[in-house]
Amino acid sequence: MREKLNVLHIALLLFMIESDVAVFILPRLTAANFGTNGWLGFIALSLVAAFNIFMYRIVYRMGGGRSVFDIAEAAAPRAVLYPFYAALALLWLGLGAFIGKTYVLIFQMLSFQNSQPMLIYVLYCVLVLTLLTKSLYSIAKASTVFFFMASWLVLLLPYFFKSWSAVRFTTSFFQGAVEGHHLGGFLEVFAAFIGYELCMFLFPHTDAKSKLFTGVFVGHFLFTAVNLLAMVMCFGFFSFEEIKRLEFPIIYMHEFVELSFLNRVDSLVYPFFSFYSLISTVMFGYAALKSIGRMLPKVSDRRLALPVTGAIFLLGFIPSIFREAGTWLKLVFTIETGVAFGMPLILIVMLKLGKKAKGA
Amino acid sequence: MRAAKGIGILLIAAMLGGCTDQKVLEKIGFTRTIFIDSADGDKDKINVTISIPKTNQSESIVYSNVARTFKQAKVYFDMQNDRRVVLGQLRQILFGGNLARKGVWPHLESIFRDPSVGIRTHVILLEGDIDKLSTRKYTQGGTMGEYLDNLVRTDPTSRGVYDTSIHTFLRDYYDDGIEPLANIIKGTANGLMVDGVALFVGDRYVAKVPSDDAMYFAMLRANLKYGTLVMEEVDTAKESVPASLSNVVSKRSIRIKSVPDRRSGKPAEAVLELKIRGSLLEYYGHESLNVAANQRSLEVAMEKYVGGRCERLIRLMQAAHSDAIGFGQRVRNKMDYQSWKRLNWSEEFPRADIKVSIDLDIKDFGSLAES
Repeated sequence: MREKLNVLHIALLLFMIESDVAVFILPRLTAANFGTNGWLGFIALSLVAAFNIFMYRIVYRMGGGRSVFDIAEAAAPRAVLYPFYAALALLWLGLGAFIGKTYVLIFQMLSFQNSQPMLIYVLYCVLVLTLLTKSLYSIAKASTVFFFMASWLVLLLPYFFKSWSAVRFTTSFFQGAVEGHHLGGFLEVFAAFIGYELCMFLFPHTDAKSKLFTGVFVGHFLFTAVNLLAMVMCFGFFSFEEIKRLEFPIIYMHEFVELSFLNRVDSLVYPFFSFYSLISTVMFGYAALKSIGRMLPKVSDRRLALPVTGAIFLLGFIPSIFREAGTWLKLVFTIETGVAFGMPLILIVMLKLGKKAKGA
Repeated sequence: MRAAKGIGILLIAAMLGGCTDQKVLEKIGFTRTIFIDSADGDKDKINVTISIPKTNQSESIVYSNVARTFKQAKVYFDMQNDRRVVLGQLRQILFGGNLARKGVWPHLESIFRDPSVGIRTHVILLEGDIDKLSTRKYTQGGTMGEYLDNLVRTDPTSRGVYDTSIHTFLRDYYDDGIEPLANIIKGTANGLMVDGVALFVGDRYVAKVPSDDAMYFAMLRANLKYGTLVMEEVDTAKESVPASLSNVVSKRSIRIKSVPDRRSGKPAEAVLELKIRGSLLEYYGHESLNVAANQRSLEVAMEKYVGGRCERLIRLMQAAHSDAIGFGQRVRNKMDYQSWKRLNWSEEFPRADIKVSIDLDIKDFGSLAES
């Protein structure tokens, strides 16, 4: 019998999927898009995401734990579905690639100004490959380890209290957003949560004992809580107008840490964040791999890992400067947000149709 | 298997490629200090001096150049230095008074924009001749950069309350209810000296808090720990004598009683409260201090003295339009966003009615309770 995921693994895996490069810039994104006390907007969006997760839970319940592919194929002919699989696979490959490349571009800017970013990206892709050749169970275990390897960063928090002041929060709410309030801005912040929808790929790896959605919700709210904490620290540590201008507030906050045996902790901290991006890329790669695998039932997943990673690597060539990476990330995240909300609706309709087809 | 080997070889090749970004310690010149002042004669140009400590830590290499921007000057330093000049270990940015009076912003921004510069880098106003100060030998030990770093960090005049760095400067510069600060350092016969605090409006240096007042200013700006309050003339009913409090702990709170009213033209009203507690370790008076009533009257006299000095400081800030304490932040937090944005706080601040209320307790009287 295949091993099933347990609730802790699911929670931490989900936390790691949701965390990616966006965490460095979240305080700025919330300040710029929501305005003063923008961190409250983050809570609101977290609840929206939670509602979306709840929709997946309905799918899980209605489908009785069947994989989403089974649900879809019970309701529609494969010929119709395959183009969608292909399109989704491309989208997920793009997400994985652009998240990874953006991470590398930031890393390069901070520490390896004279390195070829694609060289760093190759190494990143090698890590992606080694994880993709393993089963989902191993990916989940690896992400649990990564989670604990990066979790010590929380210990640095008390360091900022001395320079923290509630006065800087201001008492106004949602004022002074850079371009006013608009949907595009909210989507930009919402992108931080994107990744939870991959819980649909966990369906076949769980049973009743796994408590899949308990894990997913715990992971999601853990992510919300950790980022909220970071944001609250940031809003009292920097001034509001400053946060709107700082490219990577979280990284500058780490620059402030000075221990008697070590200063400029930021350059030590940043590589640890690679785990977050790595697991996001791996899981989007995994989603793409599953979709492609569904179209090529004769090819084993292991043999698909290399071409999938290859595609992630090649897509990494597309954005070569920050602006491009930002534009591409925004594009794929926006589409993915649409997919994340549309998918459960379509699946619910398909489940109804599938039932009817069976009944007839 | 052959494929795996091939991939392995490729990987090794790729990783070796990473060695192009070498940072050999012996080939890098770590800039510790940057000094920028306006150039004589040309108002668009700046005079940039950098100091790179040698490996023996007691001497440093100093370059200077006149250019339009910092980076333009740095090119010239690179031409002369036998090691690549980098900013990763930058400890302080010094601004000359002339430039600071015109505004430090574009130059400070240019340095901060470099991701290798840390936000802990001190921002300091330097009075004196940089050429002499940077090459001088200091009996306090080390190069100017190292000495300065330690001096500012522990700043005895204020107990390091305003260890002014890029972080504090940027934070307060961007904030709309408070103005940034910078330590002032000057050269003396046998070293360097903290010469007070520079008050800014935006990025312009407008006024100076003398170092004698620094501790009082520190109490106004933030909570203070282990400070020393030196009082020259404490007026009790009978005499006017010097006294001083040591190990002072003070807690500050600001109460905004009313925000400025546009229609009636009423200014803002605020009360700044200080709770001060310290040991009386110096007293030149003749009152017997083991009498409780005398202790209390001494406390009252001290409260009056401290209050007077604090109020003088606030008037100084108001005259300079520089709200270095952050009354504006609190006024802002009492107003709605639109009305605050319509208000020009740096014009409103000088008109504000600010009172200081002091609550001072003498914790103990040192080794001489019986006098």
